[in-house]
Amino acid sequence: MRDVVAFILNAFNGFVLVYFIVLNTSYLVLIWLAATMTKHRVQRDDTAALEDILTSPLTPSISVIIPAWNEEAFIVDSAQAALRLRYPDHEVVIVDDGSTDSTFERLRTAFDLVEVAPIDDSDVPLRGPIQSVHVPASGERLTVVRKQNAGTRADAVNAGVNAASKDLVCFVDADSLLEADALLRTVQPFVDDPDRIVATGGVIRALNGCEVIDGEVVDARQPTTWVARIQVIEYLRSFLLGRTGWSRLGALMIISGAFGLYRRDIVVELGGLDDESLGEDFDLLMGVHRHLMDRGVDYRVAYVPDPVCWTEVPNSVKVLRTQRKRWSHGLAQVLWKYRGMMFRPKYRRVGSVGMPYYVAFELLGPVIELVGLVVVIAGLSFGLINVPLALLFFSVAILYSILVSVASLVVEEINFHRYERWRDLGTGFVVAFIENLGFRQFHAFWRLEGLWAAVRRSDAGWGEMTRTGFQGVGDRGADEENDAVAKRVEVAT
Amino acid sequence: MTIADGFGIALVVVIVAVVVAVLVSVGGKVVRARTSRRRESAIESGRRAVLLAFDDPRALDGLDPEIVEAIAVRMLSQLRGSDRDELASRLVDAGVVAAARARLRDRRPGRRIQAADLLGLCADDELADDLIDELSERLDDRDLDVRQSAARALGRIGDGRAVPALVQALTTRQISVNTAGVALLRLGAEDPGPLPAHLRAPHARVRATVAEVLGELGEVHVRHEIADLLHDDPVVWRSAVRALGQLQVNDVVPRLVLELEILLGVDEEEGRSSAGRSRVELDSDTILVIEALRSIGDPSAIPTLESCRDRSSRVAAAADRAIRVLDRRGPDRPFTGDPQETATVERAAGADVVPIGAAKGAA
Repeated sequence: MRDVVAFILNAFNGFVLVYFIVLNTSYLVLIWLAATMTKHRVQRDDTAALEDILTSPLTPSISVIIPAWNEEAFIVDSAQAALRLRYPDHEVVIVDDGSTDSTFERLRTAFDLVEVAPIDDSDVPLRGPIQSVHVPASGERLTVVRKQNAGTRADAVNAGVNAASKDLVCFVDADSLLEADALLRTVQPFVDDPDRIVATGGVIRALNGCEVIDGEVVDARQPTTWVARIQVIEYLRSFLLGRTGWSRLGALMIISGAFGLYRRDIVVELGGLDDESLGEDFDLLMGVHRHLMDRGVDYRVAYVPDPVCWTEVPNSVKVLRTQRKRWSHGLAQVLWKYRGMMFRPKYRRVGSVGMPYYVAFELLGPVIELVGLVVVIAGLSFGLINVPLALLFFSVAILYSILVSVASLVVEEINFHRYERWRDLGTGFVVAFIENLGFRQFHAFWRLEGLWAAVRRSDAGWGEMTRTGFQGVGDRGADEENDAVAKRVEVAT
Repeated sequence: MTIADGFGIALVVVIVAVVVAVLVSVGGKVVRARTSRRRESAIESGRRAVLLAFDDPRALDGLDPEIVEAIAVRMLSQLRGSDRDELASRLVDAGVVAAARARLRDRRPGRRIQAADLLGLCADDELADDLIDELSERLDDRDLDVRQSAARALGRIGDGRAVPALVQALTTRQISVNTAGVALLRLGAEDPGPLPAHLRAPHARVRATVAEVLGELGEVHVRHEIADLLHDDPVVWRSAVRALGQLQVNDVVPRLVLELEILLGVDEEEGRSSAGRSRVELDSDTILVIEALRSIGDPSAIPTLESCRDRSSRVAAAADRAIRVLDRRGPDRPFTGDPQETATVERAAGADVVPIGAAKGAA
C-alpha cells in the first residue's frame, strides 16, 4: 500500500514538475516574442510618424472615458492630464459614479462646470440612472456625467460610452496617468490599418514611488514597499511582455481596463461592458472576438508596448488580496461565459491557443501549485518522498520561475530602460527572488479563494483602496495616506 | 543517469541562466550609461555646430553624420519659412544631404529611416528630380518604417510625379492609409493636379483616401466626381460624405439630402435602402451626413434635418445643432462654379486649424 501511495505521489510530483516547466517555458517564449518585437520599435525615433498623426485630418477622434468613484484625491489632476494629452481631436468624459466624497465638487470648482440637458436615451443600457450632465463654462472638451452607483465599474464606463461623441473610446482609470503621447502611440495601429483594427491596448506600469510633476511622471522609481515592488515585476512580466507576446501570436485576450482603446461602434454593438462581470475588461475583448469571428469579419487587435499608463497599485497586502481574488473570480467568470469558443476553429488562435492556455495556467495554476505543495509536504512528513530529490525538484522549479522574472528585467533594461537608477535594478533582482519564495504561494492562495468564490457564485465587491493623489503615490503607509487625504479635504474646504 | 542526476543538471543549467541574465542586465545598464553619456555630449556639440552652420557650413566638418542627421531632422521639423530654407541649404552645402542619400541604402533600417526623413525636409526643386526616384524605390523597402518615412518624404517634397508611386504603395498596403493620406495632402497642397484621376482607382482604399484628401484641400471642382462615390462601398461612401462636407459647396446638398432620406428610410434609390442595417451603423452614418450638411450651411436641408428629430437622441442632437447653425446663416447663395468664388466659400469649420491644410499657401 505504501508503495502504491509513494508511486502516486511521485507521479503527481512528476506532473507538477512538467506543468511548471511548460508554464515557465511559455512565459519565456512570450518574453522572447515581446523582446524581438519591441526592440526596434522602442529604439527608433518615431517623432516624424507621431507628428503625422498629430497633424493629419484623417486621424480618428477619441473620447477618453474616466469612470470615477470616490476619487477626490486624483480626479482634478487626472482630468487636467487627460485634457492635456497630445492629440488632434479628443474629448474627456468623466463619469462620477455616485461618489460619496467630494469628487464632483472638486471637478465643479476646478472647471467651473455648468449643467446641460442630459442625453435622454442610450446606445448601451445602464443600470444606474443618469442624474445630470455638466460641461465647463469655458468650453473645454470635458463632459462630466453624474449617475447613481450601480455597484460596478462597467456601468460607469457604459455611461461614458453613451456620452462619448468620437469615433474611438479610450478607457482610463481615474487613478492612472497617461504619458503625453500615449493616445498618439495607441492610435497608431488604427491609422495604419483603419479597415481592420478594432481595439488596441497600452502598457500599464506601477505609479507608486514615481516622481510626478504637473500630472507627468518625470522620474520612474521603484516603490518603497515590497508589496508594490513585487507588482512592478508582475506588471512587467505579464502586462508588458506577456500581452505583447500574445498580441504577436494573434491571440491577445485582455486589454487592461486601465488603458484600452476601442472602436465605439463595436462597443455599442456589443451592448457595452457586461456590468455583471468582475473582469469586465477581459469580458469586453472576449466579446469583441466572439462577435466579430461569428460574423467572419477580418479584424485585428493590437497591443502597443510603448505608450504607458501609470497607475497606482495596492500598497498593502490586504488590498492586494482583495484585488487578486476579484481578478481570479473575474477570470473564471469570463472563461466560463465564453467556454463555447474553446477548441473551435472558427475562433482561430483565441479559441485554440489562448483560451486553453488561460484555463490550464491562469485559472488552474493556483490549484495545481498549492495541491503540489501540500502533496510534497505530506509526502515528506510520511517519509514517502525522497528528501534530496524533493529539494532538487523544488529548487529547479523556483529557480526557473526566478529566471523568468530576471529575463523580464533584462528586456526592460535593454529595450525600455524606464528605471535609470542602479538601485532600482538591484531591487528588481531581489524582488525576483522574494516573489517566488513566499509571495507566490500566498498569491496562489488568494487566486484559489477567487476561484472558489466563482465556483460558489458568491458576490465579490471591488473593495476600497485609499487614495493619495498623484503627488503622494507610493511611499507612505496606509495611515499616512489617510492623513494625507484628510489634510487635502481640510484644505479644500 | 538517475532522476537525481537529471535534476542536478537542470539545476546547474537554470542557475547558470539566471547568472547570465543578471550579467546581461548589468552589462546592458553599463553600456547604456556610457553610450548615452557619449551620445548626449555628441548631440550637444552637434546642436551647437548645426546652429553655427547658419554662418559657416564648415562648422559641421568632422561631426558624426548620424548625429548631425538626427539633430537636423528635429530642427527642420520645428523651423518654418526662411530659417528652415536657410538651414536646409547649409546642410546641402555641408554634404549632409549627399551623405543621407547614400544612407538610403544603408544596411540598418534606422539609418534609412533617418535619411529619408532628412531628405524630405531638405529637398529643394533642384534635388527633387533625383530624390523622387530614390525615395520611390524605398516604398518597396522590406521594413515598414522605412517605407512610411519614404512616403512622408515624398509628400514633403511636394512634386506631383510622386503620386503614382504613393498610390501604388497604398494599393498594395505597403504604406498605411494615414501616411499615404498625409503625404498626398502635403503633395496636393503644392500640386493637386494628378490626384482627381485616382477617384476612379480600382481599389476602394485609394478612392476613399483621395476623396478625403481632395476634400481637405478644398478642390471644389471635383465635387461631382466625389458625389458619384456616394454609390460606392461603405468605406468610400463615408469618405465621400466627409469630403463633401469639407468642400462646402451648395450644389451637392440635394445629393446629401437624398442620402439622408435613404438613411431615414423615407426614400430609396436604385435599390439602396436602410433596411437590414444595424441601428448603430445607421445612426453613425446619419450623423456623418448631418455634420456634412451643417458644414455646408445651406438652409434648404432644414426640412429633412427636422425629420431627424424623432430619431435616437444622438441623431436628434446632431440635427438640432445643425438646424441652429443653418437657421443662423440664412439663405445661402448657390455656388456657380466660378473658380474665383472658390476662395470666398465660407469655411464654417475655420476655427479647426489643421496644420497640413495651412501648408497650401505656406512657403
